[in-house]
Parts: sequence; C-alpha cells; structure tokens
Amino acid sequence: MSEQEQIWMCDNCNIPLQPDKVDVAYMGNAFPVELLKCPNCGLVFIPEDLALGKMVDVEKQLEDK
Amino acid sequence: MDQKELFALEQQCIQECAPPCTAACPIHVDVRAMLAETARGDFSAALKIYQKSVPFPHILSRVCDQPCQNVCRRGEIEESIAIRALERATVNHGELPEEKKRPMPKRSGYVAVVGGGISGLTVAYDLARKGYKITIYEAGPELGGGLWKADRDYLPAEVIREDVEVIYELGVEVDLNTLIDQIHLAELRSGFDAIYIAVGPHATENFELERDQYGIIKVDPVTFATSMDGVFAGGGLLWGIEMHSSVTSISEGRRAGISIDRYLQKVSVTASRVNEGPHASCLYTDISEVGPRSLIVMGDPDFGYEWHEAIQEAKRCIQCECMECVKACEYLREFGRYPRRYVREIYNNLSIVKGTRYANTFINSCSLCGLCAEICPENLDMGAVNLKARQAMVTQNRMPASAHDFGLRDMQFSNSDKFLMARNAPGTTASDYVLFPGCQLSASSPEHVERVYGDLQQQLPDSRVGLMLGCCGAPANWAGRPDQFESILAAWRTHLQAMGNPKLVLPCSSCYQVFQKHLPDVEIVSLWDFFDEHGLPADVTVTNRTVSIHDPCSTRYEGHMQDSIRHILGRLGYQIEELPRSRERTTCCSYGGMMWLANPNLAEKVVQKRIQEGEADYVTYCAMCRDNFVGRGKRTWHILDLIYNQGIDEQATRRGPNYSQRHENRARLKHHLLTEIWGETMDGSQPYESIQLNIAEEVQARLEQRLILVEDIQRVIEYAERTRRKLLNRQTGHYLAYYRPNTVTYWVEYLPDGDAFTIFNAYSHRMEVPGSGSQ
Amino acid sequence: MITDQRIHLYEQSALFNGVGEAIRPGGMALTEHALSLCNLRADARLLDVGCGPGSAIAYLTAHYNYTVLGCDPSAQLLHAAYHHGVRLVVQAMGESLPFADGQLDAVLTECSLSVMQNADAALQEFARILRPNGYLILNDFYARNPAGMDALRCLPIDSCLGGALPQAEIIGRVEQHGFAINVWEDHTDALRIFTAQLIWQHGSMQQFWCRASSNADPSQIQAAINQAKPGYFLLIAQKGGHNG
Repeated sequence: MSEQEQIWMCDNCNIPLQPDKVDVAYMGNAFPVELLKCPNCGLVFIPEDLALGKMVDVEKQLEDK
Repeated sequence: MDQKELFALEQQCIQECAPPCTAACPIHVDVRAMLAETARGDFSAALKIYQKSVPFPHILSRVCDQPCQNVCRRGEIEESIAIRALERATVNHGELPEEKKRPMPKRSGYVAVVGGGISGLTVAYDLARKGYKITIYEAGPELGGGLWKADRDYLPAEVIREDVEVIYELGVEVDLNTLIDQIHLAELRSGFDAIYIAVGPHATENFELERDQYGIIKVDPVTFATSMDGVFAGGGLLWGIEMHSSVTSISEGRRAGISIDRYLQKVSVTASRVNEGPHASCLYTDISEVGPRSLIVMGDPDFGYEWHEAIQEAKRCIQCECMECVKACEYLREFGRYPRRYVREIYNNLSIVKGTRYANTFINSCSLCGLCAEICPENLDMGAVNLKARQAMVTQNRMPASAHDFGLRDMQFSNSDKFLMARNAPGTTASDYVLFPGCQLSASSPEHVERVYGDLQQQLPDSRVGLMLGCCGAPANWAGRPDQFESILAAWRTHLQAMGNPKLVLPCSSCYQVFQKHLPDVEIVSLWDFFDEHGLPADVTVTNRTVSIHDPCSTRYEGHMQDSIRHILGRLGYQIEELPRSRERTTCCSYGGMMWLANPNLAEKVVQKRIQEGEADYVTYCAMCRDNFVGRGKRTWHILDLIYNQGIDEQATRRGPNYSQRHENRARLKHHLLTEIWGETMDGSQPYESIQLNIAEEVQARLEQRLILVEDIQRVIEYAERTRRKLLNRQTGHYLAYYRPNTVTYWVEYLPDGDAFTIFNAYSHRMEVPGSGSQ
Repeated sequence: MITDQRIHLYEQSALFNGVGEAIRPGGMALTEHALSLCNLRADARLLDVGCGPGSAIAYLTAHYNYTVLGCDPSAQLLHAAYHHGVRLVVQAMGESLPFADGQLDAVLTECSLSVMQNADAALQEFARILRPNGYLILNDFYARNPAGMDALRCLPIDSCLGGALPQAEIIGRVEQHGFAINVWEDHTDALRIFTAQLIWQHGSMQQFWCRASSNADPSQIQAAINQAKPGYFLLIAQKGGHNG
C-alpha cells in the first residue's frame, strides 16, 4: 500500500481508498485513469497537485488552447 | 465569417501592402527586404532578392531610372535612399550560389520574339524559364537593342554581353541580322504559337496591325495584346521614342510574357491583373519619430559604394511598415503578428473541423476596447472581429468553458435575487428617474451607491427617483453569448416599462455603452453629465493637487462624459496632467472583454503598462479600473471618492474587495436599501448560506487567486455534511469533500469547529469525476 | 538511435494507462471500427503486429470468435501480455515474421509501423503472410504538413514524429507491396483525447513527442510540432489476388 492509500479513508463507509480505474471527462471527452477510490461507494480522491497541475494541462489540451 | 468577409477584413489591414518604393517600381523589386539584408552586411542575400525580380541585374543596376527614389519616405526628411547605387553595390559585393541544374520544365508552345532589346529579352527569359521554346529575331548583329545606345562609360559592352549570356544558357534560339517585315510576320504567325514584337521606336517594319492616329501599334495597356490574335507588342515601339526607362521596358516585357503564357495555357489573359505595373502604395508609415541620417557619399563614384559605405547607406532605410495598432496595443503585440494574419488565423480557427484550434486563446484575450480601430488608418476593429469569433465559437459549441465561466457566474449572481431589484421611490408607483449603479460600483463602493441615491432625490425634489440593481449584461455580450445578453436586456426593458419608462442615471460607462447601443429607446444620462449640469451634491473642499485621468475604455467616444469629469475635477480644484493616451486613445485596464479571465498574464502586463504611464495619482470613473490599478499599488481614486471624501489618502490606496466580498457587498447593499428605505425584508436564503466559516488570511488569499468563493465552499460543506460523502485524512484528521455546484468541481479540506467550520485548503478543477454530486 | 529510443519509450510504460492497458489514438473503438469495414469470416485468423502487452488481443478474443495472434519485439511487453493471460504471442520484429506464407486473414498494425526500423520490409512481410485478399489494417501517425516535418527534424531533438510520413507516401508504399487500398480515413480528432491521456500519465506532451536534449527550447519544440500538424489515419488495404 502506498502512503496515500494508508492516509485516505472514506468517512461514510469507513474503509481505506484503493487505486482503481475511474472515468474522467471534459468537454465530451471521457477516458479512464487510475485514482484512489472507495471500493464501496465510489467516492474518489483527487490530490491538490493533480488538480492544479496535470488536470489543468489536460483541460487545456481538450479545450484546444 | 465567410470567405468574402475574411477577404474584406484582410484588405482592411494594410501592413502587408507594398511600401512606396516597391509599389512604384514597375517590376516591384522588394527594396525594403533587399536593404535590410544589405544593412546586415549580407550582400548575397540582398542580391538573391534583387535577382528574383530583375532578369538582367548588372545592366539594370547601372541604368535604372529609379522611380522608387521619388516616393522614398526618407525623402520627406532629407535625401532619399540611393537605391540604384545600393543595387549596384549588391551586384558588386554579392555572390549568387551556383544555381542547381534543375531539369527545365517543358511546355508545349513555340514563341517568336521579334527584337532583341531588353523588353524582348525579358519575354524570352521569362518564357524560356517556364519551359517554352523561343526564337529571337534581331535585325542587328548583337542582342541588346537600345542598350547599345547608352553611355559606354556607364554601361560597358562586356556588362551587356555578360548579362544577356543567360538567354543563350536558357537554350533560346537567336537569329541575328534577321529583319522581320510584313511578309515575314504572316509567315511567323503560321509557324509559331505566339509572337512578341519589341522592335523599338525607330523600326521601319510595316506590320499590318491596328495603329493609332500617330501610326503607333495599338495594344491593350494591361495585356499588351495587339489586334492580331496571338501577337503581343511592347517596349519602345509603343512610345515612338527611345525608352528612357529600361525598367519600364522590362516591366512591359514581363507583363506581355504573362499574357503569352496564359494565352498558350488557354486560360483567361485578362483575369485578375491588378497592380502589375507601378502603382500607389497603400502602406501607412508613421515617420514622425524617424531621426535624421544623411546620405552616404561614395568614395569612388566610378566603382560605386564600397561595401561598408553600402551598409551605412542601407541603414538609412526606414523599413516602412504600419504596425500602428500593434505598437499601441499590448494584446496585439503579445501574439507576435498583426491583424491581417490574426484575421486569417481566426478564420482558420472557426472553419477547422478536425484538429486543433490554436487561436482560441487569442480570440478570448482581447479586451474589445476599440483602441485598434481608433488608431488604424483603415479603422479595422479587431475587437469586433474577436467578438464575432466568440459568438461563432459559442454557436459551434467550441468555446472553452474556462474562458469566461467565472465572469458569467458573477453576472448571474448579480442578476439573481441576491442583488437584482427594481423599486420606485417609497410611496410612488412610477419613476421619472432611476439610478442604475451597475454591479461593480455596488461591489467596490456600496456606500457611494447609497449616497448617490440619496443625493439624486435631493437634487431632483420635484421628480420621483427609483432604484434598480443588477448587472447590465455586458459580460454575456463579451463572452459571445447573444442569447443570454438579449434575455437580460429584455428583463431591463420589462422593469423599466413597469416603472413608467424613467430616465436611467448611470455612473458606470460600460452600462452606459450597453444601454446606448442595445436599448436605444431607453433614455439615459451619465451620472457625471448629471453632476456637471446639476452641480456637485456635496460641499466641496477645494484642493490644488495634480492628478491624471484614466478614461475608461467604454468612454472612448463619449467626449461629453470625459468633459464632465474634467469639469468636476476643475471644480474640486484639481490640476490635470493628461496621460499621453487619453480620451479617444485611452487604453483598457484589462477588465474589458474579460481579458483578465481568459489571459491573466497578459492582463497583468496591460495593467502594469497603464499604471506606469503617469507619475501623478490617477483619477478614474469606473470601479473596475480603480480596483485594478490600486490592486497593483497605483494610487487611484474613483471620482466619487473625490466628491464624497475629498480624496483622503486612504481612498487612493484602499484595495478593492475580493471576489467573495464583491458578492457579499452587493447582497448587503440590496438588503440594506430594502430595509432602510423600503422597509422590506429579503427572503429565500439557501441552507448553505448560514454555514459559518473560519478562514485564515493566507488561505483566503489562496482562494482569491484560485477564484474560489466563500459560497462555493459553503456549498461543498453543506453537501458533504448532508450526504456524509467525505474523505478522512487519517494523518491530519481533516475532512476532504468535493462537490460540483456548477461547471467546476471544488475540493475543500475542513474540520467542524463548534457551529462553524475551519477551512484549511480548497482547490478546484473543471474535469468531471464520479461522485461530485453534479446533476 | 532514434528508433531504439522510441521502442524504449514504449517499454517505459509511457503509453499505458494506470491499469496496464495500452493507450493509442482511437483506442479499441478505432480497432473495432476498422474490423467492421472488413469482410472477415467469423473465425478469421488475425495477427496483431506490435501487440505490446496484448490488450487488443485480449479484447478481441473476448468479444469475437477470431483467433488473434500477436508479436512484439519487446520481451518485457510480451511478458506483461503473458501475465494478462494472453498466450498466442511471439517475440518478433515486424520486418521478419515467423509465420508461413498466405495463412492469415488480417494483419493489424496499430500505431506501430512508424516506429519500425524498416517499414518496407515489414509491408513485404505482411503481404507474404496474408492470404490472397487478406486485409491489412493500419493506423498510425502521419504528417499533415510535410514541410513542417522538416522544421521538426532540424531541432536538436530526437523526435518520435520523425517517422510520420505524408499520406501520399504511405499509400504509395502500401500499394508498392501489392495491396489495393480500400479505406483511408483521417482520425486526427482521436489525437486530442490521446494527448490528454498522455499528459495525465506522463506530465507533458513534449516528453512524448520528443526526447529533448537539454538545450532544446520547449516552446520552440511545441511551435514546430504545431507546424508539422501531426495527424492520425486509418488505412485498410487488401492483398492482391493470385495474379495480383
């Protein structure tokens, strides 16, 4: 288990998050990526550096900037 | 935008027009580029450019009558550039790389050239290079014609012979000592596919071609076709006198060659033949800042310029170009090109079906301020082009959501129950006047709005003065969303009708622009014009400070408003030091067109540039201009700060509210006015609004930079606490929850603290992930 | 060598998503679209040349009655394929295929011809192992602006795009090896989402397009890439008959 996996719990289901395939989408384009996810309810975790880094780059790419 | 519109817009940008020298040159030598290379000392590159237009460079660089010199812009300051001398230097000092032996193209068609002067030689040269078979018939013993009559000191025989050698190299057949007369012409016509006659002015040949009253062969002045099919004529014979202009002879040969080529290809000889000869230049160049630089005198006039002399002389070239708008506009400069290119890119961007649209950021970064149109000699308005492009992108569903989303949501907030209201004065059922302060003055200085409303009632004791709050809809217009914009305008129309069609009093010039242009039937008056006419509302303490005025870009063509502001400042005792760019030439603070959202880096440059243009404190009359300048440390007052607070220092340095506070200020303003003046209460608050947050200052600063509002955070927490969908960080014990109330997913790290919540961090993204509670 | 580095790049798992699937423009949807354009027997025998970790083989085997073989020069990737339960794979280069003449109904070459050292030798092999009228299904990068490609090659970078050819040249080469072209389709649109996946996986596009040397200016590289206008295509060709 990675450090992140040990840190993050789904509060409601009370179980640790696990890496899993998650579909992300933007402007009508969807594709699968691997994210930490609650195996029970499907709640996912996006870390701050991903949201402000790579996700912004991907958004720009899909926007044709 | 269709092809036709594109073409018209492209034509409006004159940057690519030939400069005067090239336009005046009958064969359009690219003098500007040639001199740029010479100035860099690259004579070979210069020669390559010269030779591209000139078939016989050694000859022409000695005998050209240089019509270019008469129109050289340097000549308006002192002596024109010595262009022919520089061409000769180019020929003397430059070297052409050994031309690769390319296989000659072959075209079917056999052309006779009658007369081996420079005009006939040009036709032979051009057509042989295109792959046609050519025979020249020359009456004399040698090629060159009229060139042999030139001064031998100036044009030595070996120069002529060397230059015309190329004709033999091209495989042209040359029949010397062969006189073609009437009988032979008929014969020739049957043996050749086309004929060019250039026998010079004194020819005795008696061709049976139509002539004018002076006996000169009649030709079409554009195509050089004679009355006989397939027979063309040019050069000195058209003039009846010895041509004094070799370059004109070459030009006529070149144009006749084009005709013959088209004739043989069986395509239209006459179609689109504009500007082939000398013409006027449409290029505008501002030379007011060009410094003097005197003509370089040759050390040895017989040889011409030495290389170092030529470099110095070439440096005198102004390198004429327009670029007026690019010089004035930080945005147009940012993307490295000029409107003609930009228009083409925008067109490509809109018409592209597959692949990547590179111009999106360009289109969305424009402030739509209209400065380029004001400056452009042809009044090309890139703002109008960009606005149209944005509308097309929205229609095509290609507008990146991130471009204007935040601004549009801000507008939606202002036109929601939180802020929107329209009321007649208490106890009245209609209004004569209605104050419409707009969204940003209400957000920046709500206290001024309340005061202005009270003062208007005082100043108009016999009139009923109502109040209307909301956003005029400018952001929807800027974002290229006419549907949204129209529906907002329709709402104003309805409100105003219900209030008895009052006159609108407008402190905001953007609102003024919107109502003036899009609701022309509504009667409007600028608050500044009103104050100028009715007098200032407050007791005036006269000062003697000096200030500079930043006219908001939406007042560009509202001279009356600009005058009123100057009158008001005069009454308050201020000395005015006008900025170099004001009134019609004022610049945008970066808020216009939502540039600040689409391109924050560019917006920063734009606002930085503006605040450095004047030393004195600024005064402006737009809340966003004020907040933008003060936010970067430039002491700036809103005119109302001066009227109501006599320009106390804190007002010039008071930073504008952050994005959350802007919402809050608007909501509070409405609440306060409703309670105090109308005795009403507001209802219908959302559950999330009651959530109390504790946000440390550094977290608040981060949220501001990330465009995350307090209400966004409240929504996430409300959702997470209600649905229990949240993550727990086992190390810190903090909760992390995410929710997507609109087109953005917000993540909030928090902990409950009594009745409130402490916020540790928040961030957002636009991509959709599962579980974000979006519908 | 450039080619070695390209193959190396694949092995670096730059081109796999987090769950081990190969990512390439168009994905399985493009493969299935291509198959729908071929008139294949339900029990056809296919070869996936450059199969990588075998995701396409696994998918096609699960959803169709085809027999799908695979080959790839990378032992590491074949190992991964084996671990995903894909058994019919062999280590081989496209230029030299260990299969008998005229035995296969279709050859799939997805996003791999442009990284082969000798595309002509590979095409010759495809023609050899296909039965008469057998299908060649080829999707890959191509240069929509060949002039721009030169600019890219001039930069101090080893470019993966260097192998992309203009449309006419690709068609010419395929025809030269006795194929008749049935379909040429532009799928450049698929590059957008592919790029997004790469950025997600990989941080930046430039790291994919170019293994930039330290002195290369990234913005210059991006400008050159934009100029070259990389595109993506699908080509379906049929091997000529006995006399063809």
